[in-house]
Amino acid sequence: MKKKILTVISLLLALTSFCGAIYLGQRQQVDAGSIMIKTPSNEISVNMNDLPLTKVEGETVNKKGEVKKISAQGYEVAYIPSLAGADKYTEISVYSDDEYHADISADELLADVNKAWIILEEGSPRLIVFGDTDSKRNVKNVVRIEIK
Amino acid sequence: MNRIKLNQMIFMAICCDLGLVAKKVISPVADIVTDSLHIPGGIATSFSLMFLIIAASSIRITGSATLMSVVQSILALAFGMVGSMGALAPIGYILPGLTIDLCLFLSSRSNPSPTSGILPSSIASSVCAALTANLLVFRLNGIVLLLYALVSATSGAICSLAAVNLVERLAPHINKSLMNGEKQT
Repeated sequence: MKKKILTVISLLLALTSFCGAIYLGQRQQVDAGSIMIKTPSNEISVNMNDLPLTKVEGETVNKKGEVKKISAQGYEVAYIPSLAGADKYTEISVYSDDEYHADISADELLADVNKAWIILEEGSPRLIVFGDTDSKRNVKNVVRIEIK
Repeated sequence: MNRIKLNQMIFMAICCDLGLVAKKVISPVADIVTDSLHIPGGIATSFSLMFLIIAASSIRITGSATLMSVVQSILALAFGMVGSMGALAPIGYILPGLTIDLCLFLSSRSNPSPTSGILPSSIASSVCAALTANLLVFRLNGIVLLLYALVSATSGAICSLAAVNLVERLAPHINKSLMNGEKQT
């Protein structure tokens, strides 16, 4: 029985290593503080420190109902498509380093341009979405933004 | 419930609690591996499911893993240990419990040994938990989803090795009656 388990573990480790090598090999490395912005036709890398950051102040609520005050320098997500030359879009997907992502619709940003911000938190970009009842969309370590 | 002896229920309760706190204990170490692979998780859950599998394999009553997972989900909601899933956390607890019971039931039909079914139930429940978390929270796709599932399966298989060793030692003692020392056949 234990021999069988060890065989299965070896097989799974080999498969995982193979899959991991492919995944890590195809990942695009992004410099610290930079974000890759992708549109269907274009792809650019933007450093947060090169953007005209403004003061962001507000409150977010986590899943336990606890209120967290936000006070940081940030850039409106609504203006990010224009950086990559995208005039029209339906949705913006913000990806973390571990591929966790949050989606913001164009309608939400049209209704309130101050709805979502990319702020610098300890030198790392973070998405902040105001008005949500939990903090699921407040993605940490943002590395990529896809404009759809 | 009349079929379950007191010592078996106590053992199930202990494993239930251990499974609940195990995730918190193993998370710092597990995060080292998952952060290096740039995936959101997949290891700590397998470790916590190991305790359910140990209890279910030792006691060998159909439905015990599901019962423990229901209790875990209630405790998790009560203590606020729901993670990113929020109010949907019970789904993430109960589905793997059902998977464990199904695998143990199917394996016991071909081999009545207490350790039969530990490997498939560990792998299946780990992958089930990972896919449930992906459906409810992460929404990964493509190769990163495959890697996430494989990491879960691998950690499930590694945990099954520990589970087999523990069940071999614990099962004969757990199934003894406290009152008169008779063994359950």
